[in-house]
Order: sequence, then C-alpha cells, then structure tokens
Amino acid sequence: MIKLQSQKNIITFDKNIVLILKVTTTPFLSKVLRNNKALILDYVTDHDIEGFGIVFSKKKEDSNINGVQYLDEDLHYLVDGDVIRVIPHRNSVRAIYRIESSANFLFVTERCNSYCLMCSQPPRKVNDSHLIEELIEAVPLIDKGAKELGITGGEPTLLGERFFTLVRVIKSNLPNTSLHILSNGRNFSDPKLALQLAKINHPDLMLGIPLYSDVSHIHDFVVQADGAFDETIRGILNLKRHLQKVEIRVVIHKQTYERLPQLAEFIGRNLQFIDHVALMGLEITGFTRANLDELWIDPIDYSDQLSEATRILSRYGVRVSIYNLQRCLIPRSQWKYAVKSISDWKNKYYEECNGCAEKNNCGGFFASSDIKRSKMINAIYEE
Amino acid sequence: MALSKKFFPLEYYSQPINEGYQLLPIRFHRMKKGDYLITNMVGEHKIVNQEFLTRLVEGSVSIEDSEYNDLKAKHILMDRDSNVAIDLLSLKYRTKQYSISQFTALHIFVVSLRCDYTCKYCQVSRRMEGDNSFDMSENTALLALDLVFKSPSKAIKIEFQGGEPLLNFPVIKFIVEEALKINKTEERNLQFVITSNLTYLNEEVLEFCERHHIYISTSLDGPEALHNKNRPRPDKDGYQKTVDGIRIIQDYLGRDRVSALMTTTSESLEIPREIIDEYVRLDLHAVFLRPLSPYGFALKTKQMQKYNIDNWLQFYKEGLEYILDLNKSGYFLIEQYTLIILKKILTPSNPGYVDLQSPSGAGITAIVYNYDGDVYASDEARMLKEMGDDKFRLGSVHNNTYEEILLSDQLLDALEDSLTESVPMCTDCGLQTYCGSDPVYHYATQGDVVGKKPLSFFCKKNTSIIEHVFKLLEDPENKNILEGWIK
Amino acid sequence: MKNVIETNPRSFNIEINSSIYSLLVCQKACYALMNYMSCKIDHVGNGFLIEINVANECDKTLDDLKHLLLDELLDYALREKISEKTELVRNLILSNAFSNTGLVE
Repeated sequence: MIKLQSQKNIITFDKNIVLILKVTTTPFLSKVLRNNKALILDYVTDHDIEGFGIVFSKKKEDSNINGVQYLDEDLHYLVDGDVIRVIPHRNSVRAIYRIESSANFLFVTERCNSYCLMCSQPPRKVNDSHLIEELIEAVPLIDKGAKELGITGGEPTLLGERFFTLVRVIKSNLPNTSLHILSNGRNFSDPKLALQLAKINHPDLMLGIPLYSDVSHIHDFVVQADGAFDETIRGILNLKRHLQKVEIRVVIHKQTYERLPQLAEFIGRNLQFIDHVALMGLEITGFTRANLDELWIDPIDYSDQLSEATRILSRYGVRVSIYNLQRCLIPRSQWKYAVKSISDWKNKYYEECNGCAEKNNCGGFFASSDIKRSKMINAIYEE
Repeated sequence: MALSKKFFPLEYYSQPINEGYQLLPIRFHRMKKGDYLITNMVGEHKIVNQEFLTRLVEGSVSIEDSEYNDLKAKHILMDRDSNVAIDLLSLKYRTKQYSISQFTALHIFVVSLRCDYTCKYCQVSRRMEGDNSFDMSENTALLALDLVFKSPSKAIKIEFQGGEPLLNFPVIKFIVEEALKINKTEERNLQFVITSNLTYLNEEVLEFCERHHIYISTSLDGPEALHNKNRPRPDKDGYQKTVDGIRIIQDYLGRDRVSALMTTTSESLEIPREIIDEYVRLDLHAVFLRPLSPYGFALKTKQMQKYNIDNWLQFYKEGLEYILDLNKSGYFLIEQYTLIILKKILTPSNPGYVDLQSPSGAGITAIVYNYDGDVYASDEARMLKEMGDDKFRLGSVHNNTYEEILLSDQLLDALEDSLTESVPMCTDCGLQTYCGSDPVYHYATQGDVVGKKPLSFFCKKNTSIIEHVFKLLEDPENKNILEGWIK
Repeated sequence: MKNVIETNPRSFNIEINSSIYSLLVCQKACYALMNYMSCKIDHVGNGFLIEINVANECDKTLDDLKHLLLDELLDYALREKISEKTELVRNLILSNAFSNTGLVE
C-alpha cells in the first residue's frame, strides 16, 4: 500500500503558491532544465543545487540547510519521472503521476451530479477548479512513454470547457498514451458535448460509464439521481454516434446482483456495439461504509448471476472482464475474465492467502476489505 | 431500509411507475398450452398467461407483478420514469432492417442445365449430357458479372448451380477469374460456392478451388438406398460418388470447405436418424432438414401428395431431437433452418436468409442468372418459368439494364404486395419478426404472391418450427446447446 | 382421405354483439380459421350473424370449432385494443428509426 499524499513534510518557504514539478534525483542536471523539477536527494552533498523548483532531502536533519526541504518517509518511493504537486505553506506533497504505476488517474474534481450509494469518492460541493488547472499544467511533465492515463473525479464533465482543454492537452503532449475517462456519461446526453469530445480526435480514448440495471428506476436508485438512466443511455448513444469507444462498468452489490444477467441481456440487445463491459467487485470505502447493510453481499453468493452474465455477454460477442474480485471467490470458469485490477497503492493479501497457487494471478484485496470481506477466502492449491 | 440518512429508498425512484404505463407496439401468439408469446417490434419476447396479457393490455399491470421489470427492460411497456425506450427501439429496428440496404449479396449463376442425374424432385428440366446448347456462354457470363458488381453490397457471394455446374467448368473458371479481375478495383468481400453432385470432381477442379478458396456444396439425402432412390444416376452409384467426393474435398481442401444438404421425400420421413448418421459419419457439422418444395418435377411425380406438412414436421422434430442428443454427447452439429430461427429470436441482427425475410429476399438479397441470360428473382422463380409461368422473370442480361431488372414492377410489386407487415394475418402475427414472406412460393401454390396464410404450408411450417424452438429453449440444457450454435 | 359419412354438411351460427367485437375483428377471426370453415357475416340486430360452414375434410368437432372461433375473436379484439393504444408511439418509433443518421449496425 502506497500513500499518494503527505503533509508531514518540512517545507520552510511559506509562499502561498502551488508547484507542479517533475521528480529528478540528478543534482547535476543542466541549469536550464531545473526550474520545473523537484530534486530529491538521499542526503545533501556539495553539489550546486540552485535553480531547481524545490530540493528535498530524505534526511530530516538536512532541512536545516539552506534551500533544502525534508520529504516525509511515506513519500520516499518517488522516483525520476514522477510528477508531484507541492503546496509549501501546507507542507503538502502529492504524487499526481507515478511513472512506475500501471494505473495513473488524474483526479479533476470532487463534484458530481450523481450520488451513488457505493461511491468510493463521495462528492463534495466545493469549488475545486484549481485541481484541473494544476493538472493541465502537470500534463506536459508526464513521461512521454506513459502507456495509459486516466481521468476521474467526481464527474469530470462538470468542468465544461476546461475538461475538453485537459483532453486536448493530453492529446498534444502524450500522443502515444491511451486515455481512459471515467464519467457517468449523463452530460453527453447533450449531443453538442459528444461532438466536442469527438472533434478533439484523441487517437486512443475510451470512456468508462457505469450502468447498474436494465431498468431505469433501479439504476436511478443506485446512483441516487432521477433521470440518470435515460441521460446515461442517451450519452452512450451520442458518444457512439461519434465513434468514441465506450466501456460499461457495473459494480456488483446487493442492489445490482439480482438482475445482473438481465442487465447483460439488455446490453447485448441494445448496446451490442459497446467496446467492453467491466463487472466489478465492491470497494468498502466512501459511501459503501455508510450503506454497508444494503450493499454488502458475499461474492460467493452471486457466483451464479456473475457466470450467467458473462455467458450472455459472450454470446452477444461483447468483450467482458471481471475486476476487483479474487480468484477464490469466483467460479473457475470465470477466471479467464478476471483481471488483476486493484491499483498497487490500494491492494493487500490476507493470511488465508498464504500458499495460494493463484496469488500471482490474483489482484488481491482492497485495503478497505479489512472492514468487510468474504468468509470464504481460501488459498487455492495446485491439484 | 437501512440506508444512510442522505439517501432515498428505491420506492422514491419507482414512484412515477405507479402513475401507469404506456404499452409499446407488441404482437402476440397463442402457444399450444394456452400461454401467450408476446413479441415487440424487434423480436424481444416474453411468455405470459392469458390473464396477465389481458391485464397488460387493459393497463392494470403494476410494479408488484414479478414480470414488470422484464417487460420494461424488453421494451414491451414504458413508464413515466423513462422514455429512452423510444430511442432504443428506433435504433434496434433500424439495425434489423439494415441488411436490406446492402441489397443483393447472393448471385446465382446457372452455368448449365445438363446433368447426369435424374433426381425425383429436380427443379430443373433435364437435358442430356453432351448437348451444350444449355450451357452459359462466356459472353452471357460477362454481361451477368456486370450486373453483379452493380449491386452495392460489400459482400458478394457467387454461387454456381445447374443442372450440374461442373459440366461447364470452363465457364466457371472464366467467371471466377473475371470476377477477381473486376474485384481488384471493386474491393468487395468476394466468395465463391459451387453446388455439385461431385461426379465430375477432378484434380483440375480441386486445384482451382484450392487456389481461389472456393466452397463446395453437395446433396446427401441419407443412407445409400434412400439417396440412390431419390437421386438416380445411370450407374446407380450416386451415393458412393457423393461420399467419396466429400472425403476427397475434406482431405484436399479442408474440412470446412464442403457442406451438404438433404431434400426430403416421402421415403425420408421414416428415417431421420439414419439420414443424420450419414452426416456424422462424414464428419460434417451442419445439416439442413429441408422440406419438399412444390416446383418442377416434384409436382409432376406427385411427390407433394405423398406427404403432408404434419408428417414433415414430425420428421423435423425427431431429427432435431437426435441432433440435440448428438450435441449432448459431444458432437457439434447444427440444423441450418433452426439456426436461422434462433438468430432471429436471440440476436438483434438479421441473419439475411432469402426465403425468410420481409420484404422477401427475392431479387433484392439473391438473384439468379440463367444459362441463357434470363434473370430471375429466385431459383424457384426459374422453376416457375420451366413450368410455363414467367411471372418472376425480371429480364435478360442481353437486353435489360440493371435498373430495368431491379426496378421492374414485376419485382417491386411482388415484394411490396407480400410484406408481412401489411398482409392479412401476418400483420397481426406474434411471430412476424421471426418469419418472412415468400411471394414465389405462394404464387406457385395459391396463385397470388400473398396467399391465404391459413392454407399455406409455408405458414404452418414456420409457425410450428418457431413454436417448437421456443419449447426447446425452455429446457436449460437444450438452450445452452442452441445458444452455442449462434457464436 | 377419410371416409366421412354425413347426411348434412356441418354448420353452425354465432351471434356477435358489435359493441364487443367489431366487424373487422369478426372478419379476421373467420379468416384465420379458413382452413376449417367458410364463413358468411351479416348484419343482424345489434351486431352480426356469422354463418359457419365446416369444410368437409375437417375432422374437428363442432364444439372444438366453436371454441377456436371464440378464442380467435378474443385474440383479435385484444389486438385491436393494442393497436389503438400503440399506434402513436409506433409511428414515432418508425419515423425516428428512419430519420436518424449515425448509428449503423
């Protein structure tokens, strides 16, 4: 488990600014290249460290030396190529982009127009428009070899024009990077927005849009927004009209598991052109904890519905994957759909996992599973 | 509900449903047991009892009914909470009709009427071998190819039929080579099939088929005695020649390059299993249990009187049961007609089978160029002409343009007049989306392109088969196998 | 061919209340059964009189046929109701289907 942010750093200059910097561990970098870099040293040496955006040492004592700040040990994993945001007067450092991570998501806002029962990032009505501005500034610093990048929130499309600007900036700076945007799709029910996204012509863009039921009232209940189902479907249709790639994401819990096969049938019949379906295990975080009684179901108890759903989608020729579920909790017949999906900064294993033959293939658990998890976790032994 | 304070319960979101619902366009069909099959505009379906259907139409079904959510999801009804059903139904309907806009994809070239067989049910007048005034000339072939490529369809299948097409193999070669030449600029997805009795299969033919990836289709009516009785040859060795030929093609060209179909005669009806066994023995994985068609020699030799539709249906059901058993034992085997029906029921797309769509595929999905250059709306249309009625002769490659042929009143009137969407009984039929029209059949048997459906074998056959398929789908094991055929 | 010995051709009549079944419904019901019978429909009093003449080759009993006809009448009446209730939305869907550009397949 990795922490992305810390406020336990010691940063001695008190300016009310935000610094977006790329990490380097090379003190003798040419001066012309220094000003958008954060130098991180194991310890201070004689080198001339003038001109860097900020200089950190991993040794606390070094923070007495002029111009050197202390980097909290939680963040000592940072390496060359990572991109960080530094807020000096809060002693705050946050990793925005990690070159070694397989799943980098740019977090653009806490605001959302839905209020899902199981939201892992509970919405707040705040003006956090500075976040996207910082990200627009950060994108040019991201390693050009980055394979994949994501945009998430809250609901990214609430940022209007700035959202499109971000996508455009990503396209210009990272033309070889796949972009995965998580959105509830509702604002794309306005065809002008779908067209605007299409006009950017990003070479490898996919939208991940949640759909929780084949009937509107259950979907609207899960996302706690009247009319969301219709908006989402229309959004998907508009995006598809403009040839955008769309993935449907379904979080499986007590309110969505029963009609999971019927949802698969609905997708096969009505949205057969969808590029991918992701069936996802529940993360016990955010609102899920508040609504645990109404959401928690042991994955073992929905094995039948899960198997039926993948069977139906396969029959319709729709690509399907299973995310965030462990191999001991899904039928063996479903393993071929299971993807090792939990971000490296979120995952862990339990004692029951010791000696499991499938450990390497399995994504492990969310750290939040400490709160609630299946009673049936067990190591799988080679036969 | 133990939801946290800030959240509303399901009842809050389902409240608009209590204000009532709008019925979406549906039809229904009374099934044998007194249940009703409801179908929507694109073939999505639900089976309910009579009492429920009445309540549904009256407007007194509610969310308390366990069927409610299925009906809503399958676009059989729509409530105040959501109206995106309109967008989706429009899209789905358009998708189902889409294949029509692709237009003629199957082009049948009758390259010779000569044949060494004298099949009992033959739909071609027989001409002696050696007399090649009944062969297609290269000139005619070129003119026909011109028309082929006028079709906008991205996928074009050229099928060689006869008589026995291999008796005019030089022209087959000519057509294939010319078509490939033209296709260099046209860039269509081009496929070739030769339907043949395999007598004249030789090294040269095989090499040619290998080079140009040509498929071969042949007739296998069943065990030796039956096959030879149905399909007599001068040397009485039709069965052996066919079996040998199939094996040769499988070895030389590949297992997937040869297929066979059977035609039912009154003698076939007793032995569906034995017939199917022949296919299994030859490692073939598709069977087409065809009924007898009412044209050509079948009529002359009184085949039609000898068996009625009920006997054939019995034969079909037994055959299909045996096929399912074979599947359960691990041998993958499909029945072609059943598969077409399954695709119509279980998928959102249109399988594009000429004889089972509305508008009929005659002319607009498939078209026939006879050896003499005459153009017909279908193979059956050609038969009708042999029997003296040229109602569906659309013109000639020698005298008519593409537009004259495909926009002829003959063709368009027949297609339009026989649309299932608008003719008596079909317009109300709950099975409409799974069925189609066959104007040539009805004209031949009843004298008009629509026909009186209560008297139509075509109608009875399709109704029975579709009902039977629904019955089979109720059993999970059968459902699994049948769904597996679709992929 | 069955050997049917009958002194009279079989027939029966049914009176229909036109406030329950429209003329079109009666016609459609009779049409659907033309394999078994030929029908003549006349106006009479509050509705219609259907004279049914059973086809010679039909081996169903008169009772069977009556039930069949009543079933068909009910079914077509239901269909008529469905048609009324869904005509507008059907036209909307069809015009939508063919005015739309964009989504193909």
